[in-house]
Amino acid sequence: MKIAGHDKKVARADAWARRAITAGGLLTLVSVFAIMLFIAWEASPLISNPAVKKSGEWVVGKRLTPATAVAIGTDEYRNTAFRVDANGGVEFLSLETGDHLQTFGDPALKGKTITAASRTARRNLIAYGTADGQVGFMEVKYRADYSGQKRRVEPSVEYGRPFRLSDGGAVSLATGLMDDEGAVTVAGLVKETGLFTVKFAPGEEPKKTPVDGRGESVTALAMRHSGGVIAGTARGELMVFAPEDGSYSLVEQFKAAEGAISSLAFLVGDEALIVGDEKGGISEWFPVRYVRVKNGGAAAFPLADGAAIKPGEERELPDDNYGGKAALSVSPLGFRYMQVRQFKSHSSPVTAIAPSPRNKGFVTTGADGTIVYHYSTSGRTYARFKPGQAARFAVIGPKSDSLVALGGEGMLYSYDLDEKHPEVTLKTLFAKVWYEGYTKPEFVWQSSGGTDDFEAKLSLWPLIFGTLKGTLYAMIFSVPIAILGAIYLSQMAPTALRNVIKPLIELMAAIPSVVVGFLAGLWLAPALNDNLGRFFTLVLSVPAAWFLFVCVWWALPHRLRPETGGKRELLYILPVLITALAAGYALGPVTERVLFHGELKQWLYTVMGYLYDPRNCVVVGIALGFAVIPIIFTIAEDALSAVPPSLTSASFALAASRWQTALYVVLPAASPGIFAAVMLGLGRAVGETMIVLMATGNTPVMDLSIFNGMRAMSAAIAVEMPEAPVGGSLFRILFLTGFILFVFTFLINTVAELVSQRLRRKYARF
Amino acid sequence: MEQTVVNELDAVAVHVRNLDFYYGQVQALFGINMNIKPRQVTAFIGPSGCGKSTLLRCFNRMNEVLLGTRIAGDILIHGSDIYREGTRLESLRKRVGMVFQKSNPFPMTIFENIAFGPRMRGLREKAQLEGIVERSLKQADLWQEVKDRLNRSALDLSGGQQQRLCIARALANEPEIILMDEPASALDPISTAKIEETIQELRTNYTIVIVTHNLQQAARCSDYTAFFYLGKLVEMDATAKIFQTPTQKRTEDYISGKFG
Repeated sequence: MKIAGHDKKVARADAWARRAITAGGLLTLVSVFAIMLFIAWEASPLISNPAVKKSGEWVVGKRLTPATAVAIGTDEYRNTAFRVDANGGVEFLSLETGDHLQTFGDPALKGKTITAASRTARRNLIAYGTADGQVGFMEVKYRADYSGQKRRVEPSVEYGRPFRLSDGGAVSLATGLMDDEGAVTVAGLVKETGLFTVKFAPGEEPKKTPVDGRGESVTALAMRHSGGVIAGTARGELMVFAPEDGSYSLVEQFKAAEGAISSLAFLVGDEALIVGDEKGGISEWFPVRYVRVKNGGAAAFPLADGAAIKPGEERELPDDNYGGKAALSVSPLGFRYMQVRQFKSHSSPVTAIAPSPRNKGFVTTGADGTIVYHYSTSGRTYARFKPGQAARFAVIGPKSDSLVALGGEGMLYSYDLDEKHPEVTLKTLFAKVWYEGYTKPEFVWQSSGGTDDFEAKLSLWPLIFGTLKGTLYAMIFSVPIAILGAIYLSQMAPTALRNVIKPLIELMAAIPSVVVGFLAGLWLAPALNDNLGRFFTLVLSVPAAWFLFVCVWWALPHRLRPETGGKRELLYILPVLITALAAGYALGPVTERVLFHGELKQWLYTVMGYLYDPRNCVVVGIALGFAVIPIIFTIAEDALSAVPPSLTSASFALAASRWQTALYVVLPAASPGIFAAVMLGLGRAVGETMIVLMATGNTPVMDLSIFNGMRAMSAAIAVEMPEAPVGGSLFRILFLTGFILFVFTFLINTVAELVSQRLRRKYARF
Repeated sequence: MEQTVVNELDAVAVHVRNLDFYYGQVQALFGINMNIKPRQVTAFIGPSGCGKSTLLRCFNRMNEVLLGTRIAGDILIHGSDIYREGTRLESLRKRVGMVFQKSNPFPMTIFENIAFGPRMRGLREKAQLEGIVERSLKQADLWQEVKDRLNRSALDLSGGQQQRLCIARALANEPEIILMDEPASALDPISTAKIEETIQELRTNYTIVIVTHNLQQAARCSDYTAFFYLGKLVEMDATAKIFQTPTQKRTEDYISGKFG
């Protein structure tokens, strides 16, 4: 009876334990998957494409006479839109009801007709030219008024005084921009007299400057804030003018399109020029710094594209860091426009290009009234649509969240522009992208910049590369030390030494990585920077001394050398090591003087072409290796010690030496454990954050050189997550980076387990 | 004169003189003196803990794998003092092979197991190794069973086969003396019989020292028997004599099963 009660108790406890353990195991699995799912979920909107959705349409055309709009625009809050009519009047329209709200006009424009106009993306600055040869500008301003219950937006229009450009014919093209001082420059073309710019500085007389158009038939105009004027011609050429001594002179003329160029515009930032032509083609051009490179050396100089500069040959090339290469002489040539990419074309001539004021997106309008939304960085065309009435103008709203279009017969259309992440595609994440200011497509990670027109460069390769590079150097440093150490300690070392060293190395694992990173970044990096020569000689002298010692050891007669594995061995090697260290330290400066013309760093740069960065992979390798060594060492040592003594005895009894036993019997038998140890160390190195954050300099460069740093995925997440706006592209990409890290670790562990199992089946059956 | 010395040395494979052995503070062997004759099977018998295995392991210095062991006295193998300073353990163990109580093949193929010893001595030539493997396996009566699967793992063999593999592995080193530490204690009767058969075949070429708990085994397959008790050699003589007319009372008691 008593026994039966006891049995029941045991059974109950058993059942409870089973349940608790099962629940715990399941919970672990569920949480791991939940984390993975959450990360993937946060990153998933990156895949979705921008979408354009109509939010309203109104008949607005009949209220003004003549109903010929020359420009349109909208306010920040999407309350009102405006259109500029050919008589200079600016009519404000409600974007909620389509109602006419207010009209402004300028007495100076009474009776005149605007024949050309253009609007800047950032400000609602409209430059215009009239039928009687005058150019001028007006600025539409919005003032938000919060005094009442509701926000009220008060529009106003400031007219600049027009200036007579020509007594002859009408102005056929006009474009303008305003600089930081408030001075407005308008470029205008009058067929009969040619191309001029007029600068309207506040408080000064307008100043007219001729542009040497060489008699070409100009069909489109654009201006840069840096002062250049770009003209597109009927022959499909672009002409680039730069101000020089009171006039604009031609600096470059080149073919840019098949048909006549019908529309030109710079995206925000003034770097990317969008060219639209009569045949509907849309292309993007960057000014790229060119240099003249002359090969003064005896050998051909290879170029990235596979070609080569022969000795004595001279070439004009995009500037691709040819400086610093001894054999080349490089002279600057200034900027030249290069075609960067082409967008999906219109089926009719491109009539207008309207850049987004916030990012690198833009809309183009075709002569057939089609509106197309493109994005520069990704090179993608996201939306193509035709309003009910053929569109004449389409502009992107100030917040880049809306699109307003005006139909030819007086219809106003309003659209929601859900941009999501237009700059992120698989291509921009994983392929080379030609960014503004670069001479060729490249992998670049630069998530934020100093200005609003900054183009985000979000290629993941530099981060993945950085993680792999840091891991590689850490493994190069740690794997031999940890495994050889484990072999020595488990197979050769006297027990007393073993009892001291093993806990000591295990203690290393307990050092917080922030401390290791701190020491690496603030002590090791500068110390290495100051003593690079010494470091170099130490790296040579210690192994050399070791090698010499072993050679002498083997040459000694048997009776003179103690049995391996004894303590006396250590007594022999220690003085040798100390001497080698001292010699390496002392010989450092001398070696630098004699072998490296004074300084190793300088020599590395001038002779080898390596730029020495104080936060480099030597530091990372040592610091990260320091974190990885205890993991590899402990597990490897355990695996080696777990090899049954019966195997080592068998080996000894077969006349194998200690070293042979370790190498041929113990090591293969422990190989599954050692492999698992290395993989675990690898996993740690890949995921390690603090050390790479503090010791690498976080420069996302893709260069395998040991003398510069890198930026790891984990460090990028740690550094940039606090700065990333929630829900923004960077935010989501950092989640994606986390996901990739997760997958990395997952893969490493899976491979480790699979290989380990195979090895165990083969070598570890005991 | 010279001739007789050689003959005298030749007549003794292992000469043990005043041997004391300690595990740390504990003395395990007391003043052992014995001569083991070449090309004969000598059995060490005695109750557990009597020091017979310890003495056996002194012959190839395997005790030194353990720490804190100490030895006094001399052991001469074919005339050379194996505890002399400067003796290479590797060359000693090449001359004195060993088979352990529990079979311990390496987790390698059968071929690699047998070739291990010669390889460690620097033999690399495939044909030569193949010759050694075949000869050794034949000597250990295993060749017929494994000749078609030399490249299979040695761990796939049965327990008895594994033990004979270990014997073959020891033979591959061409030792002068083979030490066997209860080689059949973990095996079934059929496997034991096979091992004993192998021992009988090997005695013509090798000096064999076998530690055993099995008195019948000692009686069956040894020429000489040494009886140990509490770390001392009680009696050593021809096996027939030990088993039929032992001179010591203890030996008689042990053999007749009065203690054990």
